[in-house]
Amino acid sequence: MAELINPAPVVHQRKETRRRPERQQADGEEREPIDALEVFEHIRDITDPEHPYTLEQLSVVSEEAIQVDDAAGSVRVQFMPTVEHCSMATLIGLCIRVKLLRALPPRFKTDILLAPGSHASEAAVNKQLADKERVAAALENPNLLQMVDRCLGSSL
Amino acid sequence: MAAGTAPSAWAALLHDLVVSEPASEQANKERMGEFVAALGGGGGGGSTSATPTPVVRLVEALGPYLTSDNDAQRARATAVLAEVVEAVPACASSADEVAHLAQFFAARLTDWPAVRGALRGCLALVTRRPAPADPAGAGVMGAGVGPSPGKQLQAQQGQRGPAGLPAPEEGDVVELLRVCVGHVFVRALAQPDRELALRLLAAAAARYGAALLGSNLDLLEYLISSVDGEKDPRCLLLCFEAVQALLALYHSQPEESLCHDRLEESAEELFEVLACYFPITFNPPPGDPNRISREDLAAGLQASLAAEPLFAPFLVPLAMEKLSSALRQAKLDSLSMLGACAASYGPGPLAPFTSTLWAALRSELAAPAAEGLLSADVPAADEVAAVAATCLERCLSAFQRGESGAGGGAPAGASLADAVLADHSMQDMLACIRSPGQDAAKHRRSVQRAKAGARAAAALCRAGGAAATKALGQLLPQLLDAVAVQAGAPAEHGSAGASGQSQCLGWAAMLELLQAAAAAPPADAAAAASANATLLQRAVSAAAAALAAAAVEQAAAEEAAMEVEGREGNGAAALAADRWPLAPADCTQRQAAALQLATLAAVFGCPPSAGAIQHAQVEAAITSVLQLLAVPGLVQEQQAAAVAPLAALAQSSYSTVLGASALPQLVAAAGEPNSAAAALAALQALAAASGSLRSEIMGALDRAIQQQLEVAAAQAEDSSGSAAQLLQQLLKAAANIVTGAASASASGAAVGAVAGQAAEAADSSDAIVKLGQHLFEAASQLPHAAADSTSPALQSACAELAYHAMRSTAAAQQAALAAAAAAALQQGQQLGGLQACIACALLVPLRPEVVGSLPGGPPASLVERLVQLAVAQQQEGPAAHWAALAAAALLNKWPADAASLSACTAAALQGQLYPACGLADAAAPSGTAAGASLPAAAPAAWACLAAVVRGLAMRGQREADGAISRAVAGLDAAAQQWQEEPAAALAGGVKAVAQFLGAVLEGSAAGAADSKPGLGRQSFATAKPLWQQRLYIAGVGQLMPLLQRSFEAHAQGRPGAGSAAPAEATASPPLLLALGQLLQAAPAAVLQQDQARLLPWLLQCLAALQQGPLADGPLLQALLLLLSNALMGDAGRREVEADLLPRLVPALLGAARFRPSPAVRETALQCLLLLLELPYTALHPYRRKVARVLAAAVDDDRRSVRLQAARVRQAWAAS
Repeated sequence: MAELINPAPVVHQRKETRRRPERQQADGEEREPIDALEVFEHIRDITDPEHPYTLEQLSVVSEEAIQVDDAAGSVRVQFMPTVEHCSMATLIGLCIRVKLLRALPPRFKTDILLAPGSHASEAAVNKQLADKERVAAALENPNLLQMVDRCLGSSL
Repeated sequence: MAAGTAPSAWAALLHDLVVSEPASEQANKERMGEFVAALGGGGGGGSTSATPTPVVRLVEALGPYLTSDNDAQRARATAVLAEVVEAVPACASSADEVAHLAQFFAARLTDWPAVRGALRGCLALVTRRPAPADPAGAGVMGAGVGPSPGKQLQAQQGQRGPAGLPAPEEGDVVELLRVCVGHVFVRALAQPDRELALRLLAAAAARYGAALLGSNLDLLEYLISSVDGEKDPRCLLLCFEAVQALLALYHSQPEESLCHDRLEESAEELFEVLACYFPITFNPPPGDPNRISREDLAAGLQASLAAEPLFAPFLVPLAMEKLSSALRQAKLDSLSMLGACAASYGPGPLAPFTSTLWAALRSELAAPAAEGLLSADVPAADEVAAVAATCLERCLSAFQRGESGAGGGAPAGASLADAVLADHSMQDMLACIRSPGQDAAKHRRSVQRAKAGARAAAALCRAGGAAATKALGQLLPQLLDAVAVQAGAPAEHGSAGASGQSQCLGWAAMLELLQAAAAAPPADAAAAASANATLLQRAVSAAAAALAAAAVEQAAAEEAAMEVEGREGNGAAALAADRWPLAPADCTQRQAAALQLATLAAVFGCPPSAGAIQHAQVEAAITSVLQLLAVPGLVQEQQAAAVAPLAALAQSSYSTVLGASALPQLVAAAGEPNSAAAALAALQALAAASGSLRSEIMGALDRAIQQQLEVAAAQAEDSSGSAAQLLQQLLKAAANIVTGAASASASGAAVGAVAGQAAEAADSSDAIVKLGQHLFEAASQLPHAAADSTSPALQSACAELAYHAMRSTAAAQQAALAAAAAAALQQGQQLGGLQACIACALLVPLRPEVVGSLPGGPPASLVERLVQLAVAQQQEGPAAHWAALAAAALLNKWPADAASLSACTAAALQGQLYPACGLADAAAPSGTAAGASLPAAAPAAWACLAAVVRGLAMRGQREADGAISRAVAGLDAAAQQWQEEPAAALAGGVKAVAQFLGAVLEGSAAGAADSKPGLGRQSFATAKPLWQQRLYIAGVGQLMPLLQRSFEAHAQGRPGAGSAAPAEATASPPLLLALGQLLQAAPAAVLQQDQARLLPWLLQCLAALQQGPLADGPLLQALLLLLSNALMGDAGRREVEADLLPRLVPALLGAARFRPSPAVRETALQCLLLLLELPYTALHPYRRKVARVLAAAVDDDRRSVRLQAARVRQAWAAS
């Protein structure tokens, strides 16, 4: 890459996520629903395509920007590129989508969106990320798939 | 001396060595070794004595070569001679010979080609005189870095070497060195020669220093020219060593001697030569045989620089320059060098530089608080700041020590301490503590600044003495004021607010200071403590007052929280791990309280400062700590923090105060359901901290238990009654204290206890005996009905305490109590559950000699009674459990009297246990009527049988094998029945047998690690080595043929049943269940050996135990863990890959869907992950099946299973 889009991103600390202790022993049969923190666990360690940092460290994704409804089977992730003109936004969105596709049950419908006002061409990117066929076509492209897999490699 | 014998043996070798060019270094060395051996053995000329050939003969033989015109030959001849002088010192046994050799080698030093040999010879001669620092006389020669010679250098005339061999005269050595200084230019030599020359210089300086200086040889000048520009790390280490040796030599000369002037003249030059290496950067080449590291070089350089106080004016600017570098290593090295130099120079040379020093250290100390520092860089800056603080401390303590010793001189220590205290960073710290600022960023900055200031002040305190006195005197009042003013201001509920922040920061700073003061060397700490006694007292009272206020407030808050929403608000406020709360939200009152408690612990933990506190303040502190402990709903960490000051007090001279004021309160609190947990934790910590308190505490607990026992028995119907729970807590705490006391006395005995400790140990063992006795007596006085209806948990808690108490008792005292328990058991039927439990538990940990001496001989009837008790109930309760254990223990420790033992065993097994378990008589073997020998579903009887068999197997009795074969026979009968009709009625019996097989083997063989009460080494059981292995082999040996037979029968039967059945042939489930139990209980080493044979059966077990009436979650989990162990090994993987996959994958997929237990599902998924180590081609056929199961598993009900499944799915997709 000749020139970085954001040469000096602000790096944040990895958050200590503590799940509040639940009364687990009492009801062993009850389901622990899939929640925002669990989805966040899946995507926090995806590596940024441009920098050797994770999406969490760059504050691209956060637990607060994830909404999950386990019963209805829907996930909505909003992510925030580090700069407004980030051309990697679609690739980041694709990585998140692929990761969730692999990690969540098939019954879930996943919406990946840019945080409102965080990108110059927000509508276009959102449309592209929501287009099933374009996503499928992108994953047919071996080069692109390789890039995605590289980003996901750290988030096992 | 066999002078006439021809040098036949070595002459040829010598010729070979000198004339011919050596093929390689190695070959030369070998030939040299042979030659030296031949010479050393007496010349081989027929003389059998070990007298070495005299050097004269060698020189004779070498003569033509030594004077040859051929440079190479001459060099080799000289080298041979030097080698001989070094390796066979006895060859030159007269002073004349030595003198001649010295003159010869000195002359050769001028001969350029032969200089290596000459240097080596000189070195060998010079090191004949032992170095003053190492009497062995092998220091410099032996290692690359020898011990540096001490300062007390004394030339002793005519000293002889270690073997009584003469050393060269001083005159000769002086001459030798003169030639060396004049003609050998070290910089021009090759690396090995430089090494020799430097060693020679160091050795001569250490051994003949005075003579050399006396003859006006300027060794320093020579050394400077030799060191200058050295690049080889090996030589560099020698250089540093030589510098230190020489400087020590110069320092040891009398004041008025000429060499001091010389030293002054040359100091700057020497420093310049050395300084260019600072800081050392060195990456050892890979595979370096010399193993020289950067640290070695840096330590050598630092020691050299620290060796000469005259370096000070040059060294400080150098250190300042390197400190300002951006390189971390440069900073660290500079700081460490400054500290070392201060320690070695003393105050004098560095006194003019105190302000410079402080300015440099100050910027490093303040670095973590710098504006705009990225949070990722804070740890690095913190590390440097910590090293800077250490440097400051070393400087201060060195200056103070020097001043107090010398008396005169500039008060460098005082001026440095003043500089630190007058610095505005101290005011800054106080200001930051007073008003840290509300928003998070501001608060963070304040914390960093306060921390930096406190770190510097703490360095002062750690240095002790006047600096600590001053620092404490100046800062403590202000900190106390800051904390006090804020405490006066109304603090809002729970946390936050400026006052909370200031409190936390202020106490954190105070804690830092006081801990540092406590860490100072004892004498210095005492001075500081006595000078600031009133301040310490103020600090303690302030902490006590704050704690008391906190306790009141927390109690109120707790009540409010209880009313509002259960205990939600409480659990969230965990204590911050760091002492300095970086976020304003962390500045809770709890945090402040934790800091105050730590402060108290620091003060009380340091004897001098604890001595400065007055009685009344100690009492106040104790009261407020106890008040805090009494607040309901304390978190575990808070409890620990609160107990710490009490434990510190218990170890100090105030333990009597503690005993008088705190113990009664704590014991009373232990009787209240709300505060019992905290109070008992405190009591346990106190008992662990102080031996004298331990017996008091045990006595108090003893009384409390007796009281509670009655109360609990009275309200026995209500099994969840508070009294019962409280009693359980009490019992557990007492058991912990007893085990702690036992281990303490054991370690004390091992070390060799002091008289006081021995008395304490006797006291506490007395208390333990009483505890057991009183428990037993109190229980036996309870009415039968009440004792019978106490809850099982309470019964086992009582029994455990009785067990622990008895275990820690000596044999003599055991006997009396055991006799009482045995009598109670044998008396009749009127024992309640609780009483039986305690009586049985008392019998388990008896010492073998006590068992033999029970009244009425070996207790056959007692065993019978115990077995009867154990079998009486259908389900296994605590009473049955302990009765079985007691029976097993008695049989295990039975005195070595074969006849009575086998009679008793036979009676117990044949007469009682086999019938209870439903096992047929051996006389009528199975086959006639299978139904007759079906195992009964009586868990209690089987558990008792397991305990007894285990006890017998441990001492190697044959009866154990007999019992196993009976059980297997019963199992076989059940399996045959199962074939016809898998009935649920049969399942109970089958499970009982399988569990029996597992329980016999269960647990670690040594029994040392687990403190769980049972039969093992801990309870003085006899255990033969490898008894588990023997038993396992016997069990598997009997089970295997049955399994094989049943497997074959199933495999043959299948084709007839139709090809529609997709299932693989498996053995009968009951047999597989038994095998599974055996496998999970077997010792790991045996399984490892047996793995190849057992893996297929293991897979069958996995498949068979997933459904049907025999499904068993915990067992499945254990087997899956065994499987994953096998998959991690190479052999296991190969076996799986070769032919087990068709069975393994379906079994794992089934386990991944095993509904009853999430743990099984998770473990199965882990095994699937391990499978990915196998080649792609082997796994490919199963991909679809695995993917289907994983897709379902990511929607599992359990979160942990889902995460694991996602991981496995990603890995399988990526492979």
